[in-house]
Amino acid sequence: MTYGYYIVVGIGLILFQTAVIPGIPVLDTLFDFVGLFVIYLGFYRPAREALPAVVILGLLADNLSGAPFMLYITAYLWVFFGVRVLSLILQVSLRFRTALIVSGGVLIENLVFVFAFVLLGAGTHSPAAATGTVILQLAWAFVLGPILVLGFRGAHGIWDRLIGQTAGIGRSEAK
Amino acid sequence: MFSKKMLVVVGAIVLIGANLVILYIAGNRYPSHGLGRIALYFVAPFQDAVSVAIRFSRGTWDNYFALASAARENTRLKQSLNQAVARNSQWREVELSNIRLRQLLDFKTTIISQSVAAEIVGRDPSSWYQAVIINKGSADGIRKGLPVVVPEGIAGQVTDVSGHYAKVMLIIDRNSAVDALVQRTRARGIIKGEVTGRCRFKYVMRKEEVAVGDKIVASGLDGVFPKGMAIGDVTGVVKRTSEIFQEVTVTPHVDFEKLEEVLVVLIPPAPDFAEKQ
Repeated sequence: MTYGYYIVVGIGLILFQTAVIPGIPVLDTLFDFVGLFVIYLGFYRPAREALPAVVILGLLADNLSGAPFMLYITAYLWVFFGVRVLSLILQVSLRFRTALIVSGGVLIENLVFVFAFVLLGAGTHSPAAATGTVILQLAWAFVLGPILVLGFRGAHGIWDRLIGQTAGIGRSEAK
Repeated sequence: MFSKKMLVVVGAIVLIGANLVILYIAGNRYPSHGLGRIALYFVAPFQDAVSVAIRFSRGTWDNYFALASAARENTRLKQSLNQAVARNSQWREVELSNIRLRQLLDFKTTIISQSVAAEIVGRDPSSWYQAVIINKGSADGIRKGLPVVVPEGIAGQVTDVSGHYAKVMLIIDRNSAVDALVQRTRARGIIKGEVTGRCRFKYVMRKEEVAVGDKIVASGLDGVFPKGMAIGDVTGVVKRTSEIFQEVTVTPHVDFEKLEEVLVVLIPPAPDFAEKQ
């Protein structure tokens, strides 16, 4: 049931990111939505349940991107584990905790990308432009990220309840 | 013997090391195995459907509703006018597509003899890389390594193919490289993509004459892009006394933000390209 939610949301976000957002220039500077879903998985879901979803989402993003193969899988795994560590380090009572964790996750993803450029010799000739991209993404993540992550959580709860009800009806009809 | 903290640190170092090795190996080649094409088979058709739906909605929004609001002013002829406007908007959209495709066709007949027209159905999920998904694949004769062009100039190169879809790396991607010439002085170099959406004309000797406004064209020496195809204009030149090469910035002729249709040129790629990748 949970995997059904991951598949529907994951593919939906990939389609939104690759087919819808490019048509809306204002949203060009937004963060990676699939990465945000990975942050949700790292923050709220158990590792054993979420890891296969993280790897599959990374594989799909790798397939659709011009990035070197496995870069997305790598980035998402680092985001997943980074968010878990951040959620342990940052105290629950801390103000803007969710916003900081989401921004941390977005920063980790961007750092993996920048690191890959340097490692693979593609280096960035425009550090100012690269820094600008990262700062804009972090700003968006700080403001919008917590809302969307909580949205994923709420939608997951609704999904579980709906599926549970459907399964319950199915069972009672079978009896 | 080892503390937990020590084990975590060693584990992290091993993980980072393994990660570096994997990325280095994977980054130096494009996947030509099935694993690298899963999304092209399963996600690209959905991208296609979403793109078609968006284009339809945009066309309807831009034309039908805008014109229908004018029709509301005329109460007497409201119904008939709405129908006429709806038909008109559809024709208008067809006309615009027709103009674009005619330009593409003229270009196709005059410059390139064998090519396949394709529509862009998806873009790169990351803002760090520049690739697009097109709705033509191996069933249409598309192969890895083929050049992708538009009337304004070179757009990119096919990097992965499934049955009905293909992935194209745009020339503004930092991993892209095109052997090129300054049209006026024939100075040679390599066009590489930049994160800014512009290109860098690399490895041009400092002694070569390059000026702002010069046209950059494909040299044809990479065996991929047809010789003489336009790439862009020089918009910046920096010559540092201490360096062998000069820094040349090129703005591509192609507006990649508005790219909707492309032509894939069906000429054979360099013999060793497919093997290398």
